[in-house]
Amino acid sequence: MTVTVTQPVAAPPDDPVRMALDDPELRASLVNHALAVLGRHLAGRPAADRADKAKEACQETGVRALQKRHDYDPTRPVSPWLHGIMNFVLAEAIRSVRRSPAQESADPAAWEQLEADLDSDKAESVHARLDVASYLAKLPSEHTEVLQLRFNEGLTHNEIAVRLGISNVNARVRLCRALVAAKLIAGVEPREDRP
Amino acid sequence: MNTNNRRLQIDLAAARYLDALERDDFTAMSDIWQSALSDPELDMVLREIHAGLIEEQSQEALATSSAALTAAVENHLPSAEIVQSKLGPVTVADVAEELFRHTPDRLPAEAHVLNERLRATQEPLPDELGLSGLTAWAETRFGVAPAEYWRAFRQAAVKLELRRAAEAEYHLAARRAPQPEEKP
Repeated sequence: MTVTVTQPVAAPPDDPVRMALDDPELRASLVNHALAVLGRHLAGRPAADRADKAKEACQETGVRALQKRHDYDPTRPVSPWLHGIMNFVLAEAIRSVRRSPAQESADPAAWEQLEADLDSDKAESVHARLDVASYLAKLPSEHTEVLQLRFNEGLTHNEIAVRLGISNVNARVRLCRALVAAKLIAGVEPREDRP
Repeated sequence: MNTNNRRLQIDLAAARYLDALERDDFTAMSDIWQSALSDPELDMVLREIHAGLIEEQSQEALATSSAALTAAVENHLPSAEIVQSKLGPVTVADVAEELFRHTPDRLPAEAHVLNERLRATQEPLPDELGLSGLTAWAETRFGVAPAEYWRAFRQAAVKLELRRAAEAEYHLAARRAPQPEEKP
């Protein structure tokens, strides 16, 4: 990771960006963001190394946020703004450790198709219901189960977590993976066959 | 927008974010964080994705360390027993495996033959583990065996049931507490 050396940036104590950076909960969420991204690339490294890299990214994010604090719109929440800066810091860090180029961008049309197919307003039609069933039939069982719990039984993430005996955040990630798998089907299915 | 549509939108935005993260597509991630500027719920969900990924990475690291440790113990301490923590009901195979590893003295040869067969039987044990009931249940399914075999089988079954119950209690105590407010 390339850490830019900068002079300390002075900010008044009541500056919203500075106050946010002093918030331990927000700092922890920034470290989590860095760990989630860097952890995939540093999987073989000791946990302490990964934690150090994540803290470095967090510090760099803090420095850049203070430098850019005049760009921050105080009418908007500060957390996503800081995570956006962290995103750029991590992009630079990953570029320096990545061996292969980034994969192609997601097919936005496939995501739109999936949204249309899963939309409950349209699920009243027999065709739409059949379409959701066709997704389920083509997916591996671990994805089918979580999609059925969410879209057929209408369970919340907490309820899915309890049903599967996993944590709430793990239920969230499993549902995301199932939707990504469904999106792949939406992207390859010929549109003329769709309702 | 109705509640279901809102839930679907959030679910799909979260899925797109995970997809982008796993493809190192920082431009798409940046766009989603931009959307989160006007959507506090999305902000919270994206942070949950990070927490979920960290949990997965920790479990993978733990599994890797555990496999390395198991291999080292099996290579260098062949007489040691590695007790694997399992969830779910105790099966006939679990009990037969326990008897294979800790075989009681003076079991007749036909008991060993039956035990070898039962090591592949994944049927769960009955709820009642009284000796007469268990013997009747087992002989109906697996055939007749010497009484001392079923006594040893019952002792091993009770030991494994107690161990499994203790593990289940541990997992229950160590589970993550649910969030006070449910999110879509």
